[in-house]
Amino acid sequence: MPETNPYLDAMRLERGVPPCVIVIFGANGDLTKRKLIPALYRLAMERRLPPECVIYGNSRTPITDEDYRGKMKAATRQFLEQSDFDEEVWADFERRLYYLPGDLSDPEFYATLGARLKESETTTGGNVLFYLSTQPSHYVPVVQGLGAAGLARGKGWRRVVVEKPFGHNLESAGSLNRELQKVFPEREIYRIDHYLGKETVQNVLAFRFANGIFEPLWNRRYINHVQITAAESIGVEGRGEYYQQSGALRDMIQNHLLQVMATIAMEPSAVFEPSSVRDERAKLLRSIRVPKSGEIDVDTVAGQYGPGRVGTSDLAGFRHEPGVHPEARTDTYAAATFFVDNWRWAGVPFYIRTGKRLAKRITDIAIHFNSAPLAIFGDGAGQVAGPNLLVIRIQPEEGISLRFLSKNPGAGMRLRPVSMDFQYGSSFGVRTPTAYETLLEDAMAGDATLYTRQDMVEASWQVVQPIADHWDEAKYNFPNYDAGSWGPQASDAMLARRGHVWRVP
Amino acid sequence: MSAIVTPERILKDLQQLWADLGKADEYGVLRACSMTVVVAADEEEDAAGLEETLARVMQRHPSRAIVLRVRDGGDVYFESGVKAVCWPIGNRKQICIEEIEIRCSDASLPDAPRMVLALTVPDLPVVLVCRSPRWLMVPSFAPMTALAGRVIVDSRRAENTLAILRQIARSGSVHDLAWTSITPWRKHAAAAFDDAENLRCLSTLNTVTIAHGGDKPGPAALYLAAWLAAPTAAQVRFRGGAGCDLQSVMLEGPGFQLEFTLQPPSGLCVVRNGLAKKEAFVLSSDWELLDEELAMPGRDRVFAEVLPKAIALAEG
Ligand SMILES: NC(=O)c1ccc[n+]([C@@H]2O[C@H](COP(=O)([O-])OP(=O)(O)OC[C@H]3O[C@@H](n4cnc5c(N)ncnc54)[C@H](OP(=O)(O)O)[C@@H]3O)[C@@H](O)[C@H]2O)c1
Repeated sequence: MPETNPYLDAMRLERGVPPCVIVIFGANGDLTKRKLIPALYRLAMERRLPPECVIYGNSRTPITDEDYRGKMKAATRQFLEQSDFDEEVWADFERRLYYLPGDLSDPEFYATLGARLKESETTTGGNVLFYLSTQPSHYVPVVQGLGAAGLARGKGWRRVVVEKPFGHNLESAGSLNRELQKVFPEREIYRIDHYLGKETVQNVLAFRFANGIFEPLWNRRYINHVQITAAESIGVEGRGEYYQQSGALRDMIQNHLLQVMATIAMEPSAVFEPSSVRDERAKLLRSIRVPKSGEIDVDTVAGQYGPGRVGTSDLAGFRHEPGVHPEARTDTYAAATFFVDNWRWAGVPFYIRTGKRLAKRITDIAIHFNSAPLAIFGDGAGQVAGPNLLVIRIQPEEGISLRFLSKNPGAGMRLRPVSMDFQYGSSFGVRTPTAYETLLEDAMAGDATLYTRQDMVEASWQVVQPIADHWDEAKYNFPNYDAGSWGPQASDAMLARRGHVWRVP
Repeated sequence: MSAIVTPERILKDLQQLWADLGKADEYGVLRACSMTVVVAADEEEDAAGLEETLARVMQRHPSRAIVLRVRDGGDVYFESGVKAVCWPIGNRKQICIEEIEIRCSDASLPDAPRMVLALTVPDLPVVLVCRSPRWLMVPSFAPMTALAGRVIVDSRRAENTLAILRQIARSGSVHDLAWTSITPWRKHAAAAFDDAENLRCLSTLNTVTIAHGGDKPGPAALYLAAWLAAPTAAQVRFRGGAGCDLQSVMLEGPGFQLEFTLQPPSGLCVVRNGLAKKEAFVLSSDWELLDEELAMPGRDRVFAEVLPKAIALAEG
């Protein structure tokens, strides 16, 4: 008997997603309605979700299947990205969408769930994807509930997708991992970091490792420094209560932005396979220098927004947002300088900043190359314009642009910077899948390349924990930046110490 | 259409077109280009249909299209025209198709390759799409096929299946849309063998039967049969009849029967040992076939292996 299917043809035949049941815990929540159901609907629309797939949503609110479907339909209409809503596709999709009310601390609920899973076994082969879209404090009780009811093992595969945050510090991350692994083997635990599912973040790998011209320059000899910016113009949008428990450092840098940095800086893997790509990413995360206590004050900046005015709108400060304590010490802005201790990157600063209520919504990575070794066109020419800059834009307009110097038309040798632009989505005229579509499909197909692993989570906590501890102790004079600005002045000073300035993206 | 036709003249017209588009737009236009697509078509071929196919494909594969429309006849003549199609991106526009149309006669065909070569976008791949398989057989067209890194034909349009398949095998760089057209069948068949039970039965498979339209199997039926039989020791049988190109596939062995039957317009009935289920089945349209083929990163290894086997089946 052949060991593997001889008819597979990765080049032309789409990877098959096997029939399965998707169980969403936290089905009434924000993430489910904004991201998960719209992504599953889109997969169904593109026939990438097998027709046998069934979705069970769980929350406590006692509503019927019909009510739940109506609610999700309205949400999908509202949150579907770059796509029209199709009534017929929805009608077919919602027939496979069920609501199972119940409290996830109640063992009875798992018995009911078990019975429903049994019913669909003939069509789905017993494959089940459990998605934890609940508050983080529920992760362990749900996994224990599944384990106790015998639902973590079955006829087909059983996988669990865990949303961030993976713990609120190094210790809790370790303990969460241990609890998860008591019930599910590591290879069936999918820790989602939706940044890694974004097309342009994946494109960084293609850009670096498929083009021979950039990789030879991708090191300390040619790259002066790297700036990673993830700015939001919005505030906490009603999630103030949750946000004040985490803050920008834990919410963004510990997971998403260190993963992005790892993608930019990792070594090429020998093959493009889940374990080797993840090994390289993990290796890079482990090489990030853990800041010492004396360095934290100079190499990191915490900020919190106060009231500000943008155009004709007055914006409230963080402490005046609903649900936020009037003396909250939460960092709504975080910036840090990181170094990678390996031969490729020794001495190259990686500046990361992220925050809420900044001047505009943008996420990008800017690679600042060294200046030409000799200014043969005179000081003015090169200096004003600055050295070459490669910008990888992650959102909102995904693309890549390269800035270089060119001669101004006419007499004399006056130079000016010009930008060569590549717009990712529009150049190919194809709708790019959302990160959740990519990641959900990958999880169903058993491909963990874009998911984080226990060792990566722990490595990034190793780096962030000393900063978080230091910040928890410090008495910052918050608020220290106006809503609608580019963040605290201390952040500019952090770069100025090494002769650098933040780009205005 | 220009009166004097030289590559310089055509490129100048194109340049002028970009400049005009740029002036008309406050933010200027961006241009994206990933290849040159040369399309060889007979003059009488439905122009609107071809335009529609190109417009849809080029949106996904921003390219310079050079459409060569060839008219029967002995008088030497060339005519040309240029146009560009833009898409809005944010508040800017991006040129995604730049199209050069060249009309010529059979008699001027020997001069066409040099002209086309001068019009291709430097340093990017050149793909030649022969709307009619006859182009592959025309000697004066050989330099044109030589300048393209990839030639795409549809052997289903050829009158003599065996001759065209042999020609494709000889050339080495020709991709066949008849092969592309069976991707949905291959997808369903491959998915069936993801099932461990079915996979176990594969080594005992002894017959592959393909029901097709017409007396003799066309290229699509030959490809599908050759591909399905390749990993097995099964015999291939063809069953002709009325109706479309490919109608059903039956795989049989001792105690094992798996049948796929087309249920127009968009269904496929899959029966395993008497147990039936219906799956969605979508045949690709003209532009989708071309789109799939242009998206292929390089040589199609599976096709290269199947082609000689399909020829052997056609030879009987
Ligand atoms: N929202 C986002 O955009 C986003 C982005 C990235 C990551 N995340 C992560 O995703 C997870 C979910 O976030 P979220 O914003 O969707 O949370 P949420 O809005 O608070 O939703 C959680 C849902 O769980 C249900 N629930 C609460 N207690 C329950 C219990 N004891 N038993 C059963 N159900 C219970 C609640 O519905 P009932 O009241 O009906 O029970 C609630 O709607 C969090 O871990 C978050 O960190 C969210």
